[in-house]
Amino acid sequence: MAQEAQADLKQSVLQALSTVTDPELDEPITELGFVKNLSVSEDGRVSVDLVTSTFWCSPNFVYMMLEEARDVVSKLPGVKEMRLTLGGHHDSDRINEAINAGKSFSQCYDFEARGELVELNRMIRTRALRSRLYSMASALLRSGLAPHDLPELARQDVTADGDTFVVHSRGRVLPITDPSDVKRIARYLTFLEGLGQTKGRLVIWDLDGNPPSEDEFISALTVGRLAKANFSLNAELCRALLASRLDREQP
Amino acid sequence: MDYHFHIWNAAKENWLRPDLAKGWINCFYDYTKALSPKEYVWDWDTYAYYGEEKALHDVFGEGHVDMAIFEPQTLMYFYHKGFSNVDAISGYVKKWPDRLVMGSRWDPRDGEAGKKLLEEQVKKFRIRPFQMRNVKLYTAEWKEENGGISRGWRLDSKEAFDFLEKNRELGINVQVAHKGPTVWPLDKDAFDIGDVDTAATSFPDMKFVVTHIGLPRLDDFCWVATQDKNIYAGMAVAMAFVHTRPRYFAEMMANLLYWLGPDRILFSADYALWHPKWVIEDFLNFELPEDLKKEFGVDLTMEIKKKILGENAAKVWGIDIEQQKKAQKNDELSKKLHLQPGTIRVGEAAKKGKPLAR
Repeated sequence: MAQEAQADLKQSVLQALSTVTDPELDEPITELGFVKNLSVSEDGRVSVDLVTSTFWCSPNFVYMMLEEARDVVSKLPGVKEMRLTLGGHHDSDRINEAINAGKSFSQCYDFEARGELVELNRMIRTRALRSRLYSMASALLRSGLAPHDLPELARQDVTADGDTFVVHSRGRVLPITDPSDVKRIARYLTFLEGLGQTKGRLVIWDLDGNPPSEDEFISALTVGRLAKANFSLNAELCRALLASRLDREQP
Repeated sequence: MDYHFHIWNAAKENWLRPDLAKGWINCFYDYTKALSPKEYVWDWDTYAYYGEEKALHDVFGEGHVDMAIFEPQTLMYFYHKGFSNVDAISGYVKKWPDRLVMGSRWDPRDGEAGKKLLEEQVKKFRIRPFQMRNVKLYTAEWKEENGGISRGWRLDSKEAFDFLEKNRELGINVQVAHKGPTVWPLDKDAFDIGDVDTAATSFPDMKFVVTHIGLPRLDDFCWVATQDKNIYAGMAVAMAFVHTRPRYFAEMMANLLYWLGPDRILFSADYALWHPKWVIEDFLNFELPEDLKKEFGVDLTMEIKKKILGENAAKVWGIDIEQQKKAQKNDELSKKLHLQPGTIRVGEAAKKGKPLAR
């Protein structure tokens, strides 16, 4: 592989990894600093070293995250082989062996697990959806919409305009230009795209695309607000823990 | 009143399984470093084992704490003599029963021997009405079982309910639940507090303190605590955000006050994870930002801070604050540590001068 192609592949691997989130924190593993090392060989063998914020992170969520990383990178054109190495985790050896052999979670933890991670994944992603919904809603309310306008909006009523968004509601056209608010809306829309929910209502409340019932929209937002507080607290704590960890001399 | 303090021994001589023992104390050390003011971070060796005398000096001498409630965390799979067990403080509780409050622990996998031990501990340590009323329940404790390893347990199992019955009989009515990363089965969420919900509903006469407010599942915790009025928010770990992450702390407090109200939130600095001196001073000086007061319709007044710092825990443990003040005046510990009653400066006064030690 030419040097340029090798550099391009490395870039696409990094791009692919940036779509993988820590499910418990709802933030990309690349931004959290979990990707410690990435190398791409001339013949397309990719090797990624990962670290989590603590020695004790839950094996089930760690596995979910590694499976996703393995899958998004493996399917990139030009990748011949993909090897993940998780370091400094209480189950590192076991997890690395299983992930690289393509095993599922229940194969990795035969008698300690009773099944796969589908249900757990739905639980945590539903919360991520609600957290992102609250953040988007707070941005829309700041732009001048009233709470009762929100359930009325269709996905197509929010359109990108360069680095900003424009919202069409009841004949009004409202711009959203504050970079933090733009990011809040983009994060929610990305989540909808991931679900394949690119048409229909903007405000959905579960992974199947169902809206919250209309009379419960406000209380739904307080639930979303709590989910958002939880994700952001955990993410902030994990960032701080990882910084401490990488800075520590091993005794 | 601090509902959750430790005296631990994680020195190398005590490591039974070195990888796990080291992994445990290093993780604690990272928590401390992550959220403490720099001048409060000790060297690693002191942190691994600081000893009883230093703990008493820090908590009561410097730390503004009048009463501290002990929560053991045994981890016998990791450490030869355990990480933090009742032996560390039993002598001190007998000496200063108006300052240190003895709490124990149980594990449903210990069976009859575990129940018998609780009986003995109640006989030995119920030297004040509020002593031996609480147990720490760490559901991610690893244990050798039938030649293999069991990496956790649930509070809603039949065996756990047997222990709760035993606790009711012994008057151990405060269950301090603490979730960790592993629990059987591993494909379920180990941090889910559904089992605390089930236990709290089945034992409405008991009180359940969920330590570090259910983090990383603050949302689960708030929903459950809204329904079960015998569930309390234990602020260990959560308090420490107040210094370096005040906005995060503010959002957490606003949510707790919104969902639970001010009467079920209990203070802890979680010593020796964090030093109570700065945690208490920062908390007293902390104010909720106006935007959150408006959005959530709550406030964190001095009255509410007083509840959180002691009045709420006093109710849970059945402690008469006025009576304790009398009992503590000129007690042995006051003499030993030269404690003087005094005030902690807050607001403008705190900015002008160094806060008083007492």
